[in-house]
Amino acid sequence: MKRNEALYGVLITLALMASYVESLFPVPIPVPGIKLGLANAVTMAVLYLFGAGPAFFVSCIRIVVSGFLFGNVFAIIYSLGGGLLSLGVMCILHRMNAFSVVGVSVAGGVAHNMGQLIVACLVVQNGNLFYYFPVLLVAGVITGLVIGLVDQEILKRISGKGNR
Amino acid sequence: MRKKDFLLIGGLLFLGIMAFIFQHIWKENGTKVRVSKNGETYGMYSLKEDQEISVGEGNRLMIQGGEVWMEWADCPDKLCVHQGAISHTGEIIVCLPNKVTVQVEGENAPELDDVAG
Repeated sequence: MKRNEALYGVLITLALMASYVESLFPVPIPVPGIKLGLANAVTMAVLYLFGAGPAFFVSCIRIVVSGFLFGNVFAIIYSLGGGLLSLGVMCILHRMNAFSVVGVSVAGGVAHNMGQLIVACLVVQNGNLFYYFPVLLVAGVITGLVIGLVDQEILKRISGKGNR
Repeated sequence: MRKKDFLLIGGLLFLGIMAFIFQHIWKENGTKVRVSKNGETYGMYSLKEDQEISVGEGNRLMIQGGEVWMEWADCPDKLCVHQGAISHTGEIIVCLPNKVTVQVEGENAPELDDVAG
């Protein structure tokens, strides 16, 4: 893992920008935890280009900073729960090389929503929140699919120029 | 995209859609509402009685015509308010910032009890 503060600065900023842009488009479905997952496009690109370590680093920093920047410190714990589970799943699948970027993204999207759901259940101490499971599962697949296709195109174009 | 991607997507979608269908086939009208705050039951209310319930400073519920909904909340996203009315057993409205849950229960004991605090 090459130490390169400037690079990390750029990557984290990219992730933050994706997070911000996403917040401009509220999803019309009134279920807690539904979002486009644009920041995951950046996280996944970092994973594929630079590896798991940088991906975790960029992701965690981005989650904490965006919590403070965009005014919702309380939401950090949900984002972390979803983000860590999502990234964990994606790292494993990436290493297994069983799926393409799209499949990894779909798994990541679903894992993200499940992670957030689990954290929410723990916070309100009520397992019945799993009532939202089907909606979040399908939403995770769809957003994962879209983000996966986007990343597929991005990685096609910049893969040769990464550090790996 | 590879073949396994399609299998994964198809499999997950199938799971989600089946779960969704099951939820709706087994729908039955609820009889009471359990409101909890911070993980503890705040109160139980009958769905048959029209009433307005304030849960602390930040949430207000309305029960009317056999349905319950979040009339008002002071949370930033107001997802709980936008969700609309629920009336079937197992359905739930949650206001995460205020840690309030509103769950419809039926005559039978609920399968999943609150997690012991």
